[in-house]
Amino acid sequence: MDFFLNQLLNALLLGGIYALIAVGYTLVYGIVKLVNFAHGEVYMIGAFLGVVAISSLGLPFWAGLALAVLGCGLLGLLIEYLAYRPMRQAPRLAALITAVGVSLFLQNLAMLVWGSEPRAFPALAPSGEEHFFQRAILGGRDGAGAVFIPGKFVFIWSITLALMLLLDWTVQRTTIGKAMRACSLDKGAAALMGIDVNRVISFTFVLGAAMAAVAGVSYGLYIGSQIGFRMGVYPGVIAFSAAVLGGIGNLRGAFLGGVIMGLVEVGARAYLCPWLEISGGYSVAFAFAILIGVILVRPTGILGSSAVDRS
Amino acid sequence: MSGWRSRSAQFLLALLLFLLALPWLGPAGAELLPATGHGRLMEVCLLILIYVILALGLNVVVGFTGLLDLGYVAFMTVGAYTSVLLYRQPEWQFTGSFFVVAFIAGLHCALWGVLRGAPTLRLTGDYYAIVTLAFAEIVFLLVLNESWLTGGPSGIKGYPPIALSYQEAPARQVELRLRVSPDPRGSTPENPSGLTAEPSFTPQDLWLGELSPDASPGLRRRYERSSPDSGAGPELRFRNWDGQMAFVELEAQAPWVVLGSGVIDGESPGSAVQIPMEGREPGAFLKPLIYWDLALLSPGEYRAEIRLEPRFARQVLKDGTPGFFYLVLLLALITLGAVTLLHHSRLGRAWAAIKADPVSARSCGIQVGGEKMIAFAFSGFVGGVGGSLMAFKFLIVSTNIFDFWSSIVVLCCIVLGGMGNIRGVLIGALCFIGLGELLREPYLFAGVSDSTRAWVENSGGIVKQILSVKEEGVELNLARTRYLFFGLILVLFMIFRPGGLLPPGGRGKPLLPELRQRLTALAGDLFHLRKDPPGA
Repeated sequence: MDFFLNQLLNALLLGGIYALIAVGYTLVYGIVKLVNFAHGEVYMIGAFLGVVAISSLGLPFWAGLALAVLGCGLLGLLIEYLAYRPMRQAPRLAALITAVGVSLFLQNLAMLVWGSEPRAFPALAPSGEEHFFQRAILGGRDGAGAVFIPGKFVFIWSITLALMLLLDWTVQRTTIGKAMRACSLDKGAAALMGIDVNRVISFTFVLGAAMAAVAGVSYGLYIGSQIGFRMGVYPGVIAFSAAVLGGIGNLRGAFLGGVIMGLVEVGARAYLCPWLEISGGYSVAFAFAILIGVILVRPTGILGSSAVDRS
Repeated sequence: MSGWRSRSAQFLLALLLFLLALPWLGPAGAELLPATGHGRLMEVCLLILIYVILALGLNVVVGFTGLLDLGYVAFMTVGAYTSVLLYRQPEWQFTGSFFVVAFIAGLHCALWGVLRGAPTLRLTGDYYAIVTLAFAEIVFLLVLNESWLTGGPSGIKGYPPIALSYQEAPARQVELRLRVSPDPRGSTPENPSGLTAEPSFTPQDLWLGELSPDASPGLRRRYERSSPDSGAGPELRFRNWDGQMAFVELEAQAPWVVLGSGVIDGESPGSAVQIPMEGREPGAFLKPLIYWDLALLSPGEYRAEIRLEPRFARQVLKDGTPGFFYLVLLLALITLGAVTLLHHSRLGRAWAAIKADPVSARSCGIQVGGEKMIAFAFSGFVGGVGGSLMAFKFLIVSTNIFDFWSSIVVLCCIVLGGMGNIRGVLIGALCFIGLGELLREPYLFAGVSDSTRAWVENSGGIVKQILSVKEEGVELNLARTRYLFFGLILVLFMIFRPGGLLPPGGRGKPLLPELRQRLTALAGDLFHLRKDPPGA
């Protein structure tokens, strides 16, 4: 039972991180109808910025997180401005190849700048002391089966939930959110109504990139290591799967899909793979299988409307 | 037009003659790429030819039918592993067997192309691309995790190179004894069993094939038993081999590769161990290795007869030999011919119609599903053959060689050259792979001041990745930035010349004026801050 609870906690945590990434895919797809392949790389760069800010610049955690969010927001703006904006009128195939190119570029840029060795998340407190994130809120490290909730779990859950509510409120209640929804329905008509479509699209990219940065830093905090230039690839595809599963273009769907993907991945690693007597490395494959299944069977996703273009 | 055609034919003929002569250019060829050693030009051309095959295969789906395939590496992987797993079996090494093996690998991939294509027939655009990507990742994870078949992360190596023919040699019988007796020193921490083992072989000379006399004196020494606890000799040593009591391996001289292995079964002493010999070049002498685990043995004598059935490979086509180059050239020409014929056939026009508009194509009586399936199968087949060529070029298959970015490299060749245009694909593979190999070449800046040296030595990040201090100066090595440039090329080509160097349907506009025009247009968009009507 304790094992189950621990796995459930991990799954919810991972799901929250996936949800934060998935939001970026779903917002961008909803408006420009582009699978932003580089989004996983934005997440990776967010994690790196956080780590570098904390370990090399010696900033406190909050400042590191803020720097990652700002840096990634700027990165998202630049990517949209330099790479995707010229492709707005181009065929979808061309835009998709551009996205792949940006992803390739960013990944290798990160490798050149930060090296190919994975890094560890820096210790947040001086040695001997226990940072709030490491301290047990519930349970303790001793006792193999006991439920153990350190502070970082609580932090990641609360920030994910808070950001999701904030995003939902932004899209549903604010003027810019209304403009986003209008652009998502019909960019031409939105432009005729006096909406600056370019600004809305830039805002969307910045929003998605900032969420990805939070996800990246959270993941680093959660795992504590493996901040490498390839870390964005699988979470990127899994988060995209989450967005498709929830219904691409749908914000709440992305959240739901992210949590489901977290449950699937952790569930597969903890239960399904041992039961099938296969390696735990396959847990990601289940996420991919779900992606293929959803695209084939119900491309509109769980919460998606039937109006989603299947092509 | 006919004049241009004939000129193009002349050009192709000249290119073909150049490629045919290339393996014999030797030092002259090396002079064409001065910074490189002997044979580098041929190596680069070989790689380009392999990518020509792969790109032609991918182009059938991406260029002809207009579906973005981001998982082409899945076919390369399946093809490479299939051919290697088959070809390393001795029964699959017979005269001309590589073609059979490559064909089977291709068919295997064609099957997977159909299996992947069948459920995704209705998908286009992004969703098709994502499904192919997910499929490739699942294949990647399978290869990574099913170590019993694929060797896992370290992959498979040590399989023989392609040989065109084989020659059987008379079978030989070797007797192998392992005498296990109590160690006079008793049980020690190093050897808790308190036993000692003495291996012996008869006959002592295990020469097979042509004997080279100068190697002969070393032979006897190799069979002398080296003391296991002194660790002096590499030949006989203690090793627990998967809990087997004793285990015999045969290795051939230079390179020391395992030829075959068998388990000495303690339960039935005197049993024969069949060691089939994989194809080797003649002249190699053999080295039997016995591994044993004293903890599992009891005092007594273990005896095994090894029957060797040597078969030697003749006309070995390794990477770097003219034969391998011609093999790849031949397959590239066959692929080129097949793709050109398909492109101009009824099927090719059907694909073009599907690319333009699937609904209209269907209404014109084109069996959209069926024609697409043929494209998937053909593309998979070519990818499988190309993958097996890569496997026998590198003589190692692993997930490092066949990762997601391999798909992107092949895609880049197509995008750069011109999607859907066969000549464009050739040019694309030439430029792209050529550029990639050019970036691999280190450039030495001689006569660098000491301050620059110190700056290079003390800096980190990007500088450290591309610059290194050498004795003669500072060396610039852009090999690690290759993929950075590849990504940049993809983006820039999509923005400025989405049709590639040679867009389909004619020769396209002259490159430079068009580039200038587009650059000014973009600069106007970006920096002039002109108020465009936003949207759409």
